[in-house]
Amino acid sequence: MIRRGNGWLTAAAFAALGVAGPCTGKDPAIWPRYDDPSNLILHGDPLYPDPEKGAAEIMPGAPLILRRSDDVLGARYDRLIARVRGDVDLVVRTGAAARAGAILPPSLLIPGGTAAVGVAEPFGGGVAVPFEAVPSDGAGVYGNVAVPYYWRGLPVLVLAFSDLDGDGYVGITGLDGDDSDALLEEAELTPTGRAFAFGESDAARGEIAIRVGGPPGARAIAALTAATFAGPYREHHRDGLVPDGPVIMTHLPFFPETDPERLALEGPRDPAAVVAGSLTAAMNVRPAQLHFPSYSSLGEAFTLRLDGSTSTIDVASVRSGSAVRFGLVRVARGDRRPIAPVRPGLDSNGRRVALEVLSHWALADDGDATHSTLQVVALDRLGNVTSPPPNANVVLEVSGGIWIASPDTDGDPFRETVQLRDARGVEIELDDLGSSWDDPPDARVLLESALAPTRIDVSLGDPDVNDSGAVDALDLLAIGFARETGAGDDDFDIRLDIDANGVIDDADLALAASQLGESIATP
Amino acid sequence: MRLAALIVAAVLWVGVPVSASWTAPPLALTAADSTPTALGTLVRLDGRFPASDLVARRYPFQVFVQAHSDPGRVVCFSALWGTLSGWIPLADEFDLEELIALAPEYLQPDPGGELVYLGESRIEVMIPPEFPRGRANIVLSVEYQGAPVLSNDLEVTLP
Repeated sequence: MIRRGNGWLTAAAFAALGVAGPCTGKDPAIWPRYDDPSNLILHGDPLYPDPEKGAAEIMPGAPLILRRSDDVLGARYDRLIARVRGDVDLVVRTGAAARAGAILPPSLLIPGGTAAVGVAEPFGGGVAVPFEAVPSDGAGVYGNVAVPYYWRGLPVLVLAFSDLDGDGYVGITGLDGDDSDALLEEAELTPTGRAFAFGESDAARGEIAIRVGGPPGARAIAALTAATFAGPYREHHRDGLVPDGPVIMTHLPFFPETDPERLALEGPRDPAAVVAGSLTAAMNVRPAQLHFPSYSSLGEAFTLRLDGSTSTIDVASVRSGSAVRFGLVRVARGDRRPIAPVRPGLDSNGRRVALEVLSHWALADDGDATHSTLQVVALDRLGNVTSPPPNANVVLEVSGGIWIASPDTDGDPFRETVQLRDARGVEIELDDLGSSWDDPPDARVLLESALAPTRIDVSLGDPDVNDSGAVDALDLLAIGFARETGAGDDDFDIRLDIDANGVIDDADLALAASQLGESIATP
Repeated sequence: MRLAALIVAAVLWVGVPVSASWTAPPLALTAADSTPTALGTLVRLDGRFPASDLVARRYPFQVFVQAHSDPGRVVCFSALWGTLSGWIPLADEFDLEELIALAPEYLQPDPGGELVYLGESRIEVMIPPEFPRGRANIVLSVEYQGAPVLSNDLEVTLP
C-alpha cells in the first residue's frame, strides 16, 4: 500500500522545491557520459556527478533526479536536472521483441497488430501473457538489441499495471482531460502482475499472469514494464549474488526506489513480505517519487500511454474469468478515494467505468437524506466483474439498520430477488433505517444464488464514534489521531469516517465538532 | 546460483535485508469470521500469503480447516487439488504439519466446498455443509523446499 499522505506530501514538496531550487545541471552536451562501448546498454548514459556512482538510474524520457545530502530519493531537497533525460535501455514486448537486431514497435503499432490477450484466473488457470524483454542501445525510438556480456542469466523483473479507469493511460495524469481524478488513478500504481525472466542469448522471455480483467465491453488493458540491474555478478559485490550495476528500466508509472541499501533500510522488516521458492519471487515495488503532472519538468514523464506511443512498454488486454459468485459494486469517482479494490466494469447504462468491488462499506446514517446506489454484478474468483451465467437470480438480504429502497417488487424492504442478464448487473438503492445518527447496529448485505454467497459489511457512522452516548472530546481525539488515513491503509478505521467518503479528514472532524455535547443513542 | 541470485535480487527489490531465513513464504492469518448461508458456511480470512504466485501458477498452497469436535475431520482448499475433505485417523500425538502431510492420502474431493475469492490479502472459502458445526481451527500452509510451512492458526466458529 502506498501511503498516500506521505507520498503526496513528498511529491508536492519535491515539485515545489524543484521549481524553486537552483538547477545547476550542466548542458546535456557536456554532461559527463558513460563511455564503455562494451556495455552498450549504458554507453552514452549520463553519469552521476559523483564518479563513484557511475551511470545514472534514470527512466526513459524522465529528467535526472539527484538525491541531496540526505541521500534519500523521494525526500525533500531532491534536485531535478531537467535538461538531462533518460534514454531507452530496456524494452518489453508481448510478442517478438526484435528482428535482425532492430527492436520492433509495440504490438499496436505493428501493421495488423493487436494487443495480446490474457484471462484472469487463479492457480495458473488463466491465460498468461508472453513477453520478451530486450536490452537496447537507445538509438532512435526503440534502439537496437545491445546484449552486454553479463546479460545471460540476468534476472529481469516484469510488472503489469492496469488501466482501471479506462482513460487509455496508466498513472496519475492530466492527459485524460481530468485533473481531479488523481485519487482514483493512484490505484493504478499497484502492480497487477509480476514475473521474473532470465536473460538468454538476446532477450529475457517469460509469461506474466495478470489478476485484473474486464467483462465484455469493459476492456482491461495492462501495461507491461520491466527493470533489472545492469551489471555483471562480482564476488565482492553482495557476495556475488546481486549484479553490480545500476538499475535500468522501461517506462514506469513512478520512479521506483532502486538503492539496495535504501531498500534494506526502509523496506518492510517483516519476513512475511518475501516470497521465494518459486521463480516468480516476490517484489513489492515502492515509488520513490510519485508522478506530479502539474510540474512542468516532470510533466507526463511517468504516464504510461497505452496507444503504443510509450516506446519501451507493450500492452495486453485481459478478460475476467468465469463467474463464481455475485457482489456489490459502486462506480468509483475520481475525487473519492476508493475504499475497495477497483476493477474495470460497466455502469447500469453500459458505459465503461471503474468499479469498487465492496466487501465493507460505509453508509451515511442520515435518515432519508441520501440513498446509496450500487450494482449487483457477477464476479470471478479474483474479484473481477464478469458476465453472469444465463438467467442468474440473486437474492439480496439486508439486516441491521438498512433497507432496500429500490427495487421493491415484493413489498419486503429487507429482501429482494433480482435477475442479472449481463455484466452491467442490476442497480439497487440502499438506505439506513430511521433518522440520522440513530446509531443502529452495524449492518450487512448477503447475496445468495446458485453460485457461492457473498457478504458485505456496512458501517453506519455517527459523531459518537466510541458509542459513549454523547459526542465528546474523546470522539474528536479519536478522529484527530486518525486524520489522513484512508481506505486501504492498515490503520484505517471505517467507523471514524463519519461522512463515508473513504478518508478520515477535516470534514469528519468538523462534523463531530459541530455536534459536541449532543447525545446520540447507543446501539 | 541462479535461483539464489534471483531470490536475493527479489529480496532487495522487496526491501528486506538479505538472509536465507527471510526467504520463507509470507503466511499469516490476522482475522477469520464466518457467515451461515443457504449453501453452507462462508468463511472470510484476512492475512498475508503469496497472492501473486497463486494467480500465476498451481502453487502448493492450501487452506486447512480442522474441526474442534473431531480433530480428524478436516477440509482442505488446495491450489493443487481443489477442495478435499474427510477424516484422518490420528495418533494420540500429532501436530498440524503431520495432519497436512497426511491429507492427500485420506481426503476425497468435495464439490460442496470451494475457494470463492482470492484477493491480495483476503481469501473466502465455502465450507461444505456436511462439515461439523462449532469451533474449528484454520491454518494456511505452503510447501517450501519440500517441507510444509504453516501460518499461525486462528479459531473460527462455524454456525
